[in-house]
Amino acid sequence: MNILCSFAFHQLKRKKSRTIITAAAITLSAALLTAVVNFAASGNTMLSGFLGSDYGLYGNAYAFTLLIPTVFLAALIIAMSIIVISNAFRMSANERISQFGTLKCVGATKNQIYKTIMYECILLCTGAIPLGILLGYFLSFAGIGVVNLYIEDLNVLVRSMMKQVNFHLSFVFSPAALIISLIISLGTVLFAAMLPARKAMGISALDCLRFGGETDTSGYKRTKIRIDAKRNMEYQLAKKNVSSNRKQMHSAVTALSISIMLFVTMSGLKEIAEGIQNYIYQDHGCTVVADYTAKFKNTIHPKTGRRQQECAYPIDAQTAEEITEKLKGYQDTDIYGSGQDYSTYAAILTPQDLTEDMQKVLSRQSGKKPEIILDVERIILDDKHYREVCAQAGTDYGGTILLNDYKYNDKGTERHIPPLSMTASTLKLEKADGSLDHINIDGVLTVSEIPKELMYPNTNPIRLVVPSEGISLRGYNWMASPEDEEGFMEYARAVLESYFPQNGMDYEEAGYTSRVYGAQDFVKIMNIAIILAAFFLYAFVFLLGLIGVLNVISTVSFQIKLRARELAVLQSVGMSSESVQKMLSIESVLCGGKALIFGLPVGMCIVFLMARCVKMLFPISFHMPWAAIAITLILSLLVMWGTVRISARALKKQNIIETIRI
Amino acid sequence: MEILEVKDLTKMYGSGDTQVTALDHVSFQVKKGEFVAIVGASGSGKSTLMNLIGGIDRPTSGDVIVDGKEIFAMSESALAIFRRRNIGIVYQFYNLIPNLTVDENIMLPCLLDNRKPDEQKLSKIVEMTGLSHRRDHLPGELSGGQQQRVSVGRALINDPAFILADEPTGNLDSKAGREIMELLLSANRKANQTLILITHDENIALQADRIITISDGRMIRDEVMRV
Amino acid sequence: MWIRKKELLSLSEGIRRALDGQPFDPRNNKEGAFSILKNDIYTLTHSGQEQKNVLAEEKEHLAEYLSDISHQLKTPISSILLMTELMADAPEKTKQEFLQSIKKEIRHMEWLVTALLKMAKLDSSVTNFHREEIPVSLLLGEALKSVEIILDIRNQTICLKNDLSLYCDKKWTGEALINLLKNASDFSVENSEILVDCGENPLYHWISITDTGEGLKKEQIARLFRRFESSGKENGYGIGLPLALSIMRGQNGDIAVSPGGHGSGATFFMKFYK
Repeated sequence: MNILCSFAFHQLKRKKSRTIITAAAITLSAALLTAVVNFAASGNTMLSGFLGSDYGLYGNAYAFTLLIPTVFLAALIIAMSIIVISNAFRMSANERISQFGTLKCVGATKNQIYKTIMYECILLCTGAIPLGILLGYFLSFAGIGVVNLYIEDLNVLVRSMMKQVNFHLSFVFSPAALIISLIISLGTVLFAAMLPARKAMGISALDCLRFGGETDTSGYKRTKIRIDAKRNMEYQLAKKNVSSNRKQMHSAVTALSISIMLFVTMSGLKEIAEGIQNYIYQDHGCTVVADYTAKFKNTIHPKTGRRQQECAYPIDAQTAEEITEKLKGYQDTDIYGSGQDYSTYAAILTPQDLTEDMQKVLSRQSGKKPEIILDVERIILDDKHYREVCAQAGTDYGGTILLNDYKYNDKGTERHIPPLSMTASTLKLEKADGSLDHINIDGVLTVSEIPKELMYPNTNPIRLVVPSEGISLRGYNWMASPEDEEGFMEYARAVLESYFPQNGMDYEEAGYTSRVYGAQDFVKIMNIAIILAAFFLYAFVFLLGLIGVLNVISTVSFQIKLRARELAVLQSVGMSSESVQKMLSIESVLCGGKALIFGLPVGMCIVFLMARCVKMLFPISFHMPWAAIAITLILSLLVMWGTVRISARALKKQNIIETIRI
Repeated sequence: MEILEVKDLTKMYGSGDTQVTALDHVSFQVKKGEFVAIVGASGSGKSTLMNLIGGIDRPTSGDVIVDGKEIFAMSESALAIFRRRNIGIVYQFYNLIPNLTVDENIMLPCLLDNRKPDEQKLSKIVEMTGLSHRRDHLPGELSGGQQQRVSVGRALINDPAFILADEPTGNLDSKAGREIMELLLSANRKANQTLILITHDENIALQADRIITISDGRMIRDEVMRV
Repeated sequence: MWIRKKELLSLSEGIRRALDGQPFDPRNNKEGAFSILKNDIYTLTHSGQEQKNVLAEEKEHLAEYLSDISHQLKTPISSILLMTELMADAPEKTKQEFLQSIKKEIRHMEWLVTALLKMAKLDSSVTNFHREEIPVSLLLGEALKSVEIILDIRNQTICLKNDLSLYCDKKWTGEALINLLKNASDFSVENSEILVDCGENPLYHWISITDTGEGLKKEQIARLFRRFESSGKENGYGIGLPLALSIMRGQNGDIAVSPGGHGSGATFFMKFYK
């Protein structure tokens, strides 16, 4: 074996524990990179299978959605790996600095020193990278398996709600992906090792010999901290040591704080997602929904310039009622039918017609105007429930009832206000063609009186429940809570199919669609998505954090050996070993503290910012992921405690005389 | 022809107020086969002189000409290679690579050239060091004196132009020190190996053919002890 | 490894120039087997040059010896001439004295010439040494024959502590031993015992002679081995020790001195390298 290679080999053999830790870090890094690349490859396959090999219309958007997270994750992994692996090799080089000095004196060139370190890297890579890639494949295989577990459910749901889809994430082995992962992981590790190697080869032979086994003393910075005899000596020494900015501690702290930040951010994301999920979850008071939707087109009326809607296959109230009865026929299930029409009328109002709150909201949205035109939502219900609403409002059957409630997003919180001031009991309505109508309001229901089936996410300010005769709607839905959900859903599908045959065509082609689904299905989809994302992100952060922890452990144990002479001198001058240990513990706490002080706030800030953005769209209830923050604190403390323990053990092993002499 | 010529060698450290002149225009020549001892108190500049002769340090001004080659005209890599092939260095502190065996340590200059020395020659040198029965041992398993002997062996393996030794016995007890001197002397006598030895020990210096005395960076005496 | 034909040709031309006696240094101090070859070629061509240098030096040495001889002979010769001049007119008693002096000077000259010539021969490596295995006790016995008288006068004895067999030239080594013993006798006090010891180590065999003097100072050691320096005592013509040194060096050996001091005498080591 080449002599330089044998140097590297001996060094690896000598420092078995560090070798193992470094190899583990390389393996993890390679594994994560491979997993990410492979996932991207599989995702790519799935999407191209789904959308056609050129991704169809939205090609770029999809490619982006896939590429951006991949690149981002990969960049994160690479950055982390470089910090950690570079640190490991730097420690190895520093240890052998006197050896390098001897070699240079005997006649080794800079290049040969450089190669010695690089050989160490290569030797480790020959074992660690293939292992890492295998592990990565295993991880991605497992991951895809997990995804597929849920994806079937996803498929079923989406199929019932939208299109016929068949998402299936398959484990793809593409040689291209393998080569890419190989190149990237190898490149990362080699680059990481190159940094300290270049530095080592630059040190002159004289410096190597002069400083024996210590690092070059120029690595210390002058600090403003002065030691006085007043306060705790150990604390002061510890503070001075930490601020002297040793490069290794720096990297350990950075790696740790990145991990903390990521962890907090991920938890925050999860909180936000759950908030969105909660927002979407609406208790409609039913478990199954069957609906009919017809395709529509928005056009502009040539004369008035107003928006109008054209619908090819509207459903009329009578048909709706028929279907309601039919559905009731299944096990005597209670059906709540309702249909909405948003496009026929618009109400013309003056500011006096509106409540003060409503005026404020509108002026915020569109400025002060003398005449306000708002879209009117007309709601028809099935006969039975229409009767109920009329009775509740105190009018006779056949009246128009106003649901006086407006729900909107007030800077992130959900607010309900009554829009109309009820000064008048007649509403002036305008149609798209410009003709006017007047409607009497026979009854009003306030927010507490409105049945929950009629409280849905987005509402118009003006909502009227009207008698159903003669009205045709674009869409109508039937809500029920049957005992036998599966059976009901099958029955309902059959019924709707009989009325509105699809003939195998989808929404676009037929011009309408009818579907039957579980009320919370949409939420369920979100739930699944959240679970999957959380699982992967947490796994990712965990593994990344693992790399960080490995780094801290090896750095700390190396630091002890590095400062062996320093510590031995302290002991010989008269510092008791408990005192020294205390100083080391304080240093360790300070370093961990630094990591926390940087990582936590940054993470929390990011989470806060993201939540604000989301809140502008969805008024979700959101709070900081305090649980995650607590976990982070505990883990960091554990890591610090662990390092203190290690340093204590290493310290005990030292013999003062031996250390100072050598 | 001289195997070593030191011309007007000067080395200064620092600048302005803190400038220190470690060597001040030192010049001398060494013939092949000579055994020169360089003596002086600590801090007199002898170690600096040795580092410069060995090409490990660069002078502020002046030249060192080894075997006809101006060593400071070469690039750092070329100088390292030149040193590998033409100069043998022995330091005061153990200068062995801890994870190489005695054999490998002695062969180190050749290994760096990616070649193995003649087996007979290697055996002869190992025999000279008196460690023929410990060829497989690591430096950690040897005593200080034995380690120094290996260092001398390493310095001899390439038949260098001269051997440079900086207080080779400084860290050893008197018996081990004597052994090292015998080793160096026998190389000097038998193989006509030029030897340049830095020492502060008079008894050792007396064994040399020539004593050069350095004080405060200047050469103040150059006596020939024996012809 | 790809070597250009041009480089091979230039190397070859350089070697030819070196054979002609011109300087040639092909070393380029790079990595690789070709550079190592160049280094080896330099050593090879250089060694020839070195041998010539050695020969030139030896010629110089011989010249020095010749000048030494003539210088050293001048004094006794002029002394003899003077005396012969005066003898003609001197009384009988003075004549006898003169004759004695002349004899003494002639013996001195004879000794000088022989010794110097020996040294010259030794130093120019013309002498043939016949090496054989011989025990130290035998060597010592032979040497004692020549120094008995001196030892007797000063009432000194020799004690041999150890015995072993060495490989050396009996006659020459004996002569060196005689000179060292004479020297030891000179430096030792009267009525004392001069210690002779011998031993062996991985590098050489050795014989040591320890006197009972006061030890040597640094300046003395330097002068000991220089020809015709006064050693501070008479009875030597200042040539015994340098001769012994030449003898040892010629036999692939050496003489080392341990100065002693503080009450103990100096020890001279004869080293016979293996």
